[in-house]
Amino acid sequence: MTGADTATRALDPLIHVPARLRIVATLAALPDGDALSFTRLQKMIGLTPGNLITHLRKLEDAGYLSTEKTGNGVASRTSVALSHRGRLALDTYTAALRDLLAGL
Amino acid sequence: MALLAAYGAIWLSVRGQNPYSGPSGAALVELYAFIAVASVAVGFEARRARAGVSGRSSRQQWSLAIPLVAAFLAVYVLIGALRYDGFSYGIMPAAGPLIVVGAAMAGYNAAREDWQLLGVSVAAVAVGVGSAFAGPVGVWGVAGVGLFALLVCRAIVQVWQRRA
Repeated sequence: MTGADTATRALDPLIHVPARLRIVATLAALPDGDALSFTRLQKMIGLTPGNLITHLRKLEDAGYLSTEKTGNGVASRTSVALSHRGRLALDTYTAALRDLLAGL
Repeated sequence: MALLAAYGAIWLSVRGQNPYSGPSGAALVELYAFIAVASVAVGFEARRARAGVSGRSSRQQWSLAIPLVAAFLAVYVLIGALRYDGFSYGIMPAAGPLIVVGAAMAGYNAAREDWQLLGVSVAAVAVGVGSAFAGPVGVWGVAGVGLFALLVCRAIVQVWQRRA
């Protein structure tokens, strides 16, 4: 197996999807322990609410991020934060991508 | 440029005074208007950038704002005390905030391990110390030019880093 094959295998398919990569990269820019509101994340990423919820759910199921809902009704607010596992997964993904592109 | 103009206006108003009687009211109004506008602009921009962000860092911003405001006010308390006791305080309004606020910023940035902003803070303290030795007339000119040079250097470094 070549180094490129190993790197390709290390490219986490969950993060590799462009929309999810943008979500994870955006959340990774926050300091550890900070969360971003759903509406701000939606504005920054430019996805529809339904599309964003779908991607967030997939990342949350994998343990890459956590969501927290506070308040009720119109005052409710959902915050999204990257978990330690999500940060590690992004580090591994970027390292694999760098390895893959190093040969160019 | 606004900073250089604000400090320059004060320097022009005190230049050639013998005996020294202090900056004119108009020049002081210009400087404090600049500080007020800059503070509001920084606060507005910080609030816009932090919209939707919650957690530890949103609480940490108070740990910077409170010592900065306290340090800034402390300088004016000292000026008031010196004036009350009849001592000369001519260098204090220009050099004092740079030294005290710069030192508070240096401590905050050292704790955050932000070495670039630590360097800027230490340089601001150095400008304040250097200007203090220029006397009550020269202090405004040295502080204004020093701060302007510091901000230009910081802008050049930021542009260079973005290109790298």
